[in-house]
Amino acid sequence: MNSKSNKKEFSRLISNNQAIIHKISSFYTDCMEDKEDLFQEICLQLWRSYPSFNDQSKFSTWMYKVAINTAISHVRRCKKSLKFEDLKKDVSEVNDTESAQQSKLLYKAITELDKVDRAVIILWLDGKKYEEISEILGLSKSNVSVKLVRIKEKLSGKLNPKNVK
Amino acid sequence: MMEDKKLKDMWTQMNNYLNFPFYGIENIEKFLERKSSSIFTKIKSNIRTVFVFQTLGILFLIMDIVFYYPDLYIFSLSVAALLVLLVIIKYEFDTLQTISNLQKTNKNVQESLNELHDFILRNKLKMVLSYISTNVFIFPAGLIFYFFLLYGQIKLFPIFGYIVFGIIHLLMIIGAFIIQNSQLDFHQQHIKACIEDFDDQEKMLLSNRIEEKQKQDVRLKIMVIAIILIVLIVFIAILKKNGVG
Repeated sequence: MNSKSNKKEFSRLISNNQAIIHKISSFYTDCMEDKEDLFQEICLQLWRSYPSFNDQSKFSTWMYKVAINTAISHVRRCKKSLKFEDLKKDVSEVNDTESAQQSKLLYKAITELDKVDRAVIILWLDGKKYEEISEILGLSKSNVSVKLVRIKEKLSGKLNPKNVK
Repeated sequence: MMEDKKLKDMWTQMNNYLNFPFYGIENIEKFLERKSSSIFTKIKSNIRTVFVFQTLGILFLIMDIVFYYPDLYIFSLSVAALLVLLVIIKYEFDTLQTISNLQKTNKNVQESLNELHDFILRNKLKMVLSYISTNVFIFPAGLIFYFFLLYGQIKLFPIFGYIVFGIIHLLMIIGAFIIQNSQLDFHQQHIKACIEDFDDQEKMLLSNRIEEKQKQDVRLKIMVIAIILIVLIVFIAILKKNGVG
């Protein structure tokens, strides 16, 4: 059984690593309300899986594993699309600069990928190695590699239409 | 194709623009106490609801045994029903434990989804039957108990009353079958859709399919409830006309 101090320690760990959960819930939900719901659901599932966490795998890898697992099987509740503007810091920044426009395009391109491809690219962009991606998603290393090539092609086409073959 | 470095730079840049709220330890602790909305929890809460009705069924059966004791026919029927119900409750308790264990395990996405999908596939018929059994036992057991409270004995109907009573009971069983079956179908479809995303051959608009299925399930449930209500009203009207109750 998880003790009270264990819960506090766990909450501290989650609070320190919450960026991972925010990122996953932002790419797997359709509206702000659902994003908040998924964030909380991931926290709960992490807590429930915490007793089975072993120190052999990295805490962040374990977090990604549970978070993506929860996000992929999450039943979506709303139809309205969550847009980059809903998550940005400042409206003027997003509308004005070229980099902001690119970020907006990248966000949209990733959310248009299917659930598994989305997970693969998020993990890769976040600096995870093929071994880790394969461990988290249960795919073979070669499958991860093949998927990544295809996803990058798709993204390239969406971010710069001139690159479409 | 776009260079890896450029893509990663865009990712870093994008993350700089995103503004996530910061949750402190207290917020996180609150999140840990919430009710889960996962498929696992939905299936478990479904089983718990059936538990409540089955407990009610057991209570009715015990009352029938106690109140109709000298009547050997009702006594033996009630004891047999009670035993069957206890076996079903034991099965559901085991199912609940298995699902809890599946949820606790820390596996990768594919493993976890496959295990839940296989579990529902293997146990679907048993889960549906145990749900139906609640309706098979609770209605007659409750009615017999009701008759004891009202008349001190089982009330005899004219033949038409038995037909209506039988139809209501049958409709309840069919309704329970449709509802439970469609619920499990929906969970299965959802998990299957998630698993299919891992397969490069299946690239369909899965979420649209799920939403469509959800709408169909709601329409089906409303229809079944409406039919049951109409038959119930007709039944009550007939009983009133015949001077019962």
